[in-house]
Amino acid sequence: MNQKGEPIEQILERYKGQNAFVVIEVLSVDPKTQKPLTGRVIAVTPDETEAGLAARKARSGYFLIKWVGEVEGVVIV
Amino acid sequence: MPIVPFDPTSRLIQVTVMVSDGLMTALTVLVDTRAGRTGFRRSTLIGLGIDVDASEQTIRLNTASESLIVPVVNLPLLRVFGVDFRDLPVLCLSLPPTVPADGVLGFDVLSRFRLFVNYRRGLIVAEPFNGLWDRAKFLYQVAKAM
Repeated sequence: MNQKGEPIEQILERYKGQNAFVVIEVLSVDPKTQKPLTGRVIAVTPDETEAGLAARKARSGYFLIKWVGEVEGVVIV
Repeated sequence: MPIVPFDPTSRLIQVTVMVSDGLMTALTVLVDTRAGRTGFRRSTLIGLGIDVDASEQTIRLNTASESLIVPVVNLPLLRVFGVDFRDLPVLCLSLPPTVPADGVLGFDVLSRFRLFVNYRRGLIVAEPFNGLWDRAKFLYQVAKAM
């Protein structure tokens, strides 16, 4: 997983507020924590099943599915 | 297991776990001490290659706000706080997209650990119930996290 890519935070910032799932193939990770550092966008969709199916296209096998929309004020009861 | 940090300002305990259906993938999950079972988002399970619609097992899930039937699927490998769970039955959850996590850790997994949470500092200490040595390690880590 040494391929370059765009920083994950930068990708999420670009799609911020679109109320969709951004599916990202992770291309590099922090060697200590295994947390994703860079990646490439595979799909942007509001449909959760579609997002899951798109994630299977990640050739590295390591994917992220992130919601880019309102997250503030989440209360779980 | 080292002390695991979380963001106390998010008002949720979010931690990273590793899952595998071949290659290891890091996911963000909520430590949910009220949940009975561990579960993951539908999209996450599908992305891992698990066919959630083919699941033959379902369970009635009673939450604080609703009751619904959800599929149960086997997760080949889940690594939580350094401990591996193989072929763990997990729930396929319809978490609202606004919940900032890929799933929740419930009692079935959390009950395998001694847990200490320092909400103010945003630290969680977790050690498996593996005997006196782990108990001693846990107490040492708790002292550091105080």
